[in-house]
Amino acid sequence: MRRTAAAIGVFLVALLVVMALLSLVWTPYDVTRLAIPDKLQTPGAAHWLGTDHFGRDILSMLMVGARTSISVALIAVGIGLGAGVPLGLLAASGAGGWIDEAVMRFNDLVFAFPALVIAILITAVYGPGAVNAMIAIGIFNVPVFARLTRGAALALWPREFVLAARVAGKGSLRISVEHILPNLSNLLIVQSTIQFSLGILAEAGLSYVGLGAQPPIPSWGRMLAESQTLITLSPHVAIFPGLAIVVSVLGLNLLGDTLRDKLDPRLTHER
Amino acid sequence: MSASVQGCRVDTPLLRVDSLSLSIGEDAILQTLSFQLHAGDTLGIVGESGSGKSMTALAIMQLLPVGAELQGSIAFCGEELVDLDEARMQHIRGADIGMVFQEPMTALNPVHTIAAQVAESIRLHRGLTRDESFTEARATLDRVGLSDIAGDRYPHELSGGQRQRVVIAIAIACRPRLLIADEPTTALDVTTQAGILALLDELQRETGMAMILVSHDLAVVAKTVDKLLVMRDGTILDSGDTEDIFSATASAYTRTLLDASTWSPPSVSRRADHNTVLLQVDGLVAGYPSGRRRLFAPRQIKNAVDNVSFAVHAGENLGLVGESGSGKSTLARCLLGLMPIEAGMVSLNGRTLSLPKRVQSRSQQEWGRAVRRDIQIVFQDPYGSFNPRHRVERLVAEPLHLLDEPMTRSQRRQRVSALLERVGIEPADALGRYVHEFSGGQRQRIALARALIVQPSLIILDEAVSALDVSVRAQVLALLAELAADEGLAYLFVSHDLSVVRNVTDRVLVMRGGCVVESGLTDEVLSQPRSAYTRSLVDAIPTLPVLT
Repeated sequence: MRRTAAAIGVFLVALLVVMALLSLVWTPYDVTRLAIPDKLQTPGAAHWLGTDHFGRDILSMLMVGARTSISVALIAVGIGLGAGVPLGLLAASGAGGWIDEAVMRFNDLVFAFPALVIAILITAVYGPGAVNAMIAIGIFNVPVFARLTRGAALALWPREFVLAARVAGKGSLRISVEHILPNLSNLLIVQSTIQFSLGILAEAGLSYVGLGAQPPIPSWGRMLAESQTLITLSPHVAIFPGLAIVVSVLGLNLLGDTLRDKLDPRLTHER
Repeated sequence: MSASVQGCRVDTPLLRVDSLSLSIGEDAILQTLSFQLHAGDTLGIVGESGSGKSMTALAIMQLLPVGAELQGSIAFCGEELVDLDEARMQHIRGADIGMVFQEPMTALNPVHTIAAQVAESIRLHRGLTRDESFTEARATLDRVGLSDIAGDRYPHELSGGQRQRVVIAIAIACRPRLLIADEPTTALDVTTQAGILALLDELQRETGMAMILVSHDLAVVAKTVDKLLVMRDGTILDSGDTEDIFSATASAYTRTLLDASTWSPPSVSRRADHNTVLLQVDGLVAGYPSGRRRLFAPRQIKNAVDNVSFAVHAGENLGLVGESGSGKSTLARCLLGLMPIEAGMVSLNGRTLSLPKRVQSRSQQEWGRAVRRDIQIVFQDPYGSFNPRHRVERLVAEPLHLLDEPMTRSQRRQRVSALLERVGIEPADALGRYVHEFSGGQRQRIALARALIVQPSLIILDEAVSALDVSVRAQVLALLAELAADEGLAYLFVSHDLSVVRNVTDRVLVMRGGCVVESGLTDEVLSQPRSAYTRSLVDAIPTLPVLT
């Protein structure tokens, strides 16, 4: 059961990545070429997943859209990890002190705003586009990682191996890097995959309301938005991008679980 | 009530275990165990970790982990328990067989009052109304010696011993015919342990129930039980009347266990040099901050160590004894500089190690760090004291950070290898492995190698052998004695276990409530205790019957 889930997760994420990478060098059709005579074709030999209302090939658009989704989600998670984890480690090493208070109250402040509304605000102020979407989603990942890191690190600080490191004369920065961080990696990996899939959803959401990647760059969210009025006429135009989002999120979550199991030395080196 | 086992015939054994085998996956945990127990009998099951003693208890309760495969027969009053349906088993558990677990905190539900928890069990099995069950619960709490404690307290408001009494109250509330106690006193202090053992003994006599007492400690069961099973690797090595086992009929392994629990070090010439003071502690006060009274009010300090003064001489073994909460671990932490001190002074080899923060300058703090390599520690928990993500080489080398000159990679490896060899671990095999691949005894050896790597003159052993099996404990103690003789090390032996302290220390300090209540030569303090508290500690040490 666990094996099967792992295999499915790896397969789905690999498929997503391969599609995105392949789109860099080759797509079945040019996604910027409009071919009105071929519009709304059902899946067939010429167009495997059919065409949309401008006659663009849906498979090609999904491939390029995967690239958009991955890069937005990846950078958003990167911002979250890069800023959130150090903040969390810092807060935990000075638990109860003013740094801890300052970091955590800042987190509360960010948490107090509804994420999507602020993302819309940022893109509205700085203009819609993939880069601003990345930053907007990334900012909301910071407190998620900071809180997670601080909570887990606080539980590690009183452990005897940390005391042993303090007896060895190591300072809090060194202990945070050498002892605390490696023991948080499982947690961070699992959380990263969750945030990654949430990032894909958020990007789709922003593009759906027109604030994500701008035309002619294809994006799954906008494909859904554009197909909305055609759903009874040509359901495949909506089904495929929808399916792509669901399948990516599922694959990432399964992969996260698998990684967590694999990365734990206590599980891999037993006996 | 109607559901419980009725009409157990006098000639049928209460419990008959017949060629019981248990395996989990490919591991054979128990191999063809057979024993029986009559009404009113007391049976002790003794063995080291991994012997299968707890699994035997769980098999009788049918509380085995998922994936366990059971073969053979367990008959309770003639009724077969193996493969019995779960609904029926639930009636037997609690009503006919009660169980007491090792850890009283996790065995109780933190959100219910203790009376409610006892009453719940009564209501489930005896079909009483809510009011009746509460009356009965209070009577049971009285019975286990909690009469002065209101039943509407929560588990966290009680001490460890009181919690274990509540667990016992739950187990006996439905008047079971069999009580299984799995290491009921292992998590408790010696004085509390004696009280719990006496209570179990008394309840057993009074109610006539049978009892199985599972323990790793021969001395704990010796006084309480009539019959004994000695287990090792899932098989029974010795069984019979307790007296017979303690006499010459026992197997070689049981003899080793007996010898190990009365271990004393080989007579090495003690090199304590009473003219050289190694560690000097003067009027030490330290504590933990408690909550603020008001917002922005300074935190109150609750003193855990209060005005403690003593000295450790070069090459000496000083014992530091006390029950949990006596402040002995806090004291050890202050000596290592892991905790700030409020008043007093600690000096090592004549150099100041710790001063209260307000009188300490930055340069003194830096200097303190340089002195710190002379004092190292081995912790109690052989599992928790290593970073699970580092390999042995890196773990042992960690204190080398304290050296002024960095070592090259190969120098470091050489030093680590030499020390691992010194503590009896094969370095070629161990360097690249993680600690979870080693047994508890091996881990304590690795911990010792880590402490020794900076060539300290004093090692604090914070309950360093408490978590080890008796035979392993004897080996580690022998190693400590050998190292002390060879390297001229001094030990500060922090322990709650007086029987170990008696055998390995020269002098002893007895602590209670953060203060030293008695100190002196170990033999004198333990044979003629001056304070009532020390006497109660000494009296509570479980003792083995003398071997004939």
